[in-house]
Amino acid sequence: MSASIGGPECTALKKKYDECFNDWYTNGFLNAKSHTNECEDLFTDYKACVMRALKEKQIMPLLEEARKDAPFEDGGKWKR
Amino acid sequence: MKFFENQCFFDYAWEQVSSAHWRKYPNEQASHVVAVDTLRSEVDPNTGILRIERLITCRQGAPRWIVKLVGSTEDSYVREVSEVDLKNRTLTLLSTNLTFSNILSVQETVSYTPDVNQPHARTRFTQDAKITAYGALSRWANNMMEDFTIDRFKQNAARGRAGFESVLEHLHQGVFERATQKTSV
Repeated sequence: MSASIGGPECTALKKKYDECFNDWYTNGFLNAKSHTNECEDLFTDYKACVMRALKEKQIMPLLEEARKDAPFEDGGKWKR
Repeated sequence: MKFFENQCFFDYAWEQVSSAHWRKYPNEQASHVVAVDTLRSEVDPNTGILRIERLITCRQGAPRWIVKLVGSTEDSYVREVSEVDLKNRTLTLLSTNLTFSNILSVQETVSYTPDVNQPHARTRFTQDAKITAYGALSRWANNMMEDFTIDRFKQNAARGRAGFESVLEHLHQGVFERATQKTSV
């Protein structure tokens, strides 16, 4: 499992989330048994940690710009 | 503007390849990838497509002439949006650079689909990148930047393939054997 941008604290939270996600993806989603994200709670904690790191490193403006150019809802397809 | 294209095959079913994709890092070949973070993960209620946004943090040295042109930066960031279409068995990722986006644009599309001839035992990988440098003062310098980026893509693609193969092999030994045992009992 790879590290998180937010250092050891976020990496520990990421590990828990990744383990949950990988299990859900392989055994739930791929078998069409589960469409809902069962790892929501773990993701909430992990994501909060990452967002702090993104703000600290001033990545948010770049990310927001990229999101405008290639919206998530469009699967990241570029407008231009 | 320059283009890079790449294609290869992995001798594993699409389901294994797509699972392995989420477990790709770390691997020895991809030492330049220092962090991968999930920002958003949702199943589209209308289409059933799983959509995931990730931030990838890379650290890879650059030659001095590049550093002189663009300034030095320790880490560079890439935003990736993936879509997993279970019905059609496709995994598509679209990635763009966040770092140096004011002088260089890299738009990469990767797709994993079942091999037409062996749809349950082999997966096709395609990669396309569009690279445009526009921040330097001369067309010559922009050209150099594009050439450098293409070369780097080639190197990383070769390492990426080798690294992914080793991840697939490793997982095949473990996870998928266990899954098969579960279902066959």
